[in-house]
Amino acid sequence: MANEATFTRETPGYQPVRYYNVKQGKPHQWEENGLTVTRTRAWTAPGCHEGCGVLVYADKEGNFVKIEGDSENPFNQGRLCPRCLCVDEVINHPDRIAHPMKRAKKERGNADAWERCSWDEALRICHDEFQKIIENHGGDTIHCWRGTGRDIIWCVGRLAATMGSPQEYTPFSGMSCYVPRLSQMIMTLGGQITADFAAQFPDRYDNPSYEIPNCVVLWGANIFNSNSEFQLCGWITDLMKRGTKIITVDPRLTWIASRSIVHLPIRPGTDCALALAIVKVLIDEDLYDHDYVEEWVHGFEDIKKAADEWTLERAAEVCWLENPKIIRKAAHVLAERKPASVLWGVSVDMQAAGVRAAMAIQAIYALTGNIDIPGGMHFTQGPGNVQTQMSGGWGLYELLDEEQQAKRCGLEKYPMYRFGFTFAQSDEALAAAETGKLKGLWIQSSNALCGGQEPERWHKVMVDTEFNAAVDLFMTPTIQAAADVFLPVSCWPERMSLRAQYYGLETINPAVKVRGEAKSDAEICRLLGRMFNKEAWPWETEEEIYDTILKSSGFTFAELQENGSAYQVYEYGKRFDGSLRRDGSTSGFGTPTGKIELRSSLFEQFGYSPVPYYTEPFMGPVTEPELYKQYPLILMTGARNGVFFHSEFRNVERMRQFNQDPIAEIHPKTAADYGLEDGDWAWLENPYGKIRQRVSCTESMKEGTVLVQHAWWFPEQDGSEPNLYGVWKANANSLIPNRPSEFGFGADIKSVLCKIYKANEGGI
Amino acid sequence: MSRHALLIDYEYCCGCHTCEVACQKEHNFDPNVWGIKVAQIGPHVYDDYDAVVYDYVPVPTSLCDACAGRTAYGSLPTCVKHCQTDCMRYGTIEELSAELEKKPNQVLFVR
Repeated sequence: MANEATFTRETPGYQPVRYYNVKQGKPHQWEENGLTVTRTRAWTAPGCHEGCGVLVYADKEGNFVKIEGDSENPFNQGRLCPRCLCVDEVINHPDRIAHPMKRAKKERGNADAWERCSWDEALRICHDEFQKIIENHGGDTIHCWRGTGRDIIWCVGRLAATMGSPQEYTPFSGMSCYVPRLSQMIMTLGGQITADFAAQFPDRYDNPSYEIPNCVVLWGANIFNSNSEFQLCGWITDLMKRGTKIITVDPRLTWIASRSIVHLPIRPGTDCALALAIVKVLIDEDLYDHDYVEEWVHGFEDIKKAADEWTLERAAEVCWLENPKIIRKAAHVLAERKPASVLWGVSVDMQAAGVRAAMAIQAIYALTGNIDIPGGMHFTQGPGNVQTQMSGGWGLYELLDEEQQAKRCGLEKYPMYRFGFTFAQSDEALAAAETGKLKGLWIQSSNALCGGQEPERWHKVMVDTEFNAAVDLFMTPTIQAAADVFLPVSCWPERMSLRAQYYGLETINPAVKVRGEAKSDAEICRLLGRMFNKEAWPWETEEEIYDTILKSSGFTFAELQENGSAYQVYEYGKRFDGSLRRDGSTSGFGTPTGKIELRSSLFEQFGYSPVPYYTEPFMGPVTEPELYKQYPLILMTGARNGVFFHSEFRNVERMRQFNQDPIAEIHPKTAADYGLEDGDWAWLENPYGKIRQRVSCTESMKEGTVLVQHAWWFPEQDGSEPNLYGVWKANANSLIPNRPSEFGFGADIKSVLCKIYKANEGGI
Repeated sequence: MSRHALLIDYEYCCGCHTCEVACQKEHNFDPNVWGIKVAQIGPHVYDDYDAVVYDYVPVPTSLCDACAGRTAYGSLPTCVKHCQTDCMRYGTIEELSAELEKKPNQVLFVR
């Protein structure tokens, strides 16, 4: 990029930041045929990982008229998914709650006991009840839950810290979403890398410094259904059209697997074994990049030794691969088709061996010299350095004294939680709750009864607290079961916020009038936060908060809104410029040795194995052969379908029509083994529980496995206890325990055992 | 004036439902009314032929007006614009027929 294509912003006291000029023809708002058009980004609520650019059209009264993808937004380039296209059906949904409500504590679980109240009263109750808990039991007994909500993580963390609580987290075992991979990268690279889709450049694939990857490995990431975090499925097809070949690691024969040059349909939870076998081929057949390894890799001999037992035959046996030679083929393709990247998914995290699987997968792209090169695995960049303020840790160290900080659940048992991570550990938080140390809950867009493992255990502790308050769009099973106050939140087209993660820094701009009395997450937390501590929440308006968050970027909110998408200038080769180092060195990776550590000094320091090794899922055919006779199927779950977002959108008819019932997918041969036909209702059972879903026979499934949909509830059913919108009937998490790995990161969520048999009862 | 058509490159249609929903929203159709509908073939594994068949093909219905209300103002039909994998093209029969020559696994729909 030439210099005239960039500009610099600077706030006194901060480093100047250089940005690309992004060509967006119009300002953030304009008039068109009698409608007001607002350029904004779709983030929270309803939930989404991406933050795509959109244009929202509103009439004179501020009513939503239509939504269009923003073709000038570099991220999605005009494309949208079905959920965004029907966001108005969320905004205007008849069941949306648009006024604050309260309910007497003894009425928890009674859907008819809610009474409308004013914001003043609702917030006063929240303040007074939480204050009582703080005084009587300490702030750390208030747990603050959040869901995916990417632009509201800071709200929950800061409010928690304001109340004296370090317990900000999402209730699910092993924090098994990205964190296991992230922890591994921080330990062994000193930074975060991701597959390079040129998303850091406004001109994307045409940017002169970018190289089209010759190969992309989709490892446990069915992006065509999930649009996994900050990566869109269309980017894969964009690259395929430009010559990129795909390798897919997925137990299922997915659509993209059918279009891949290699498909490795491994047994769920055996990723680490497969990765080590690929590493062994790379080394034994001398396919690795000698110069890169010599200069940038520490621990070559150690990884060689770690992989040595993983012959093709052994790996094929462990991974249930019929043809061992496809592992060898994958290694050859990877070695020959540089630059190559690995887009890895949450499946890597959802195993107790997840951190070690990530270490082994990373060894593949380290040995092939694909880290920190164009079109390979590139280091991410938080635009304008705003990531700390946007994280749940904004306030943890500033607002809590050391004594309260030390009470963060999981710190004692899992030392890596001190290393850059600021949330509490869910399994330890549940353990604390079960020993009487949970007195209050702040539930901000978290539907824990749908998303958390063993929801029966969470339910028991939730209903037993002194006070719970919830922020959401709709009544959910979680809120119906346990909350005493409901605070209605606004949707993203109704509010201001920031979209800031990896490269693009953008404002989210109010485009339509707010429904009823709903308020944004930030405003709700600002109002309540100020009742506790005005110094922690000094801002008179929401916009002032964003001005503070943005300080390091050189923009105010209004300036950024005026500017449009701000992309910080990106340069490859971070290992050459010292930017990864904290010790003042002028080159190298951010690790003790300055190299990519395939033998990890830090893991060793924390008492863990410095090299990856494979372990079987705790409850599988190998570890529990007797149990396997009784429960002969491997239960996979968590796969996305594109029209739901976890437990969201079950109440939006236009999305539900694509997926009316909870679906258990199974290979037709496996179904026949158990006397099942397509469309039957079936029981799925294991020692943890028993649920009912509808059988769908498909050859995409691997024989001997079943894929059970997660996060089901039935908004059309009775919400009161004990039914709670049917949340117990089809809940995949009822079959999965809270059982994290030795790191406290990762848990075997996608690989437990179960059996399946026909249900005589139809429906749900 | 030459007639317009939709070219679908179904090598790249991943079955995401975007075109279906975009169409319903553009035309104010109820959820069960389709101006375009994605057909699914497979997945079928044919061991005897060493082949896997797994395709999605969006098929416009008689309710499709090729978004006349949009194209009149120079916008693309909503399905084409919002398609997540960018596998649809709108144009004249002549220009899209030329595209058909260039690669397999494409279909041309003409009203």
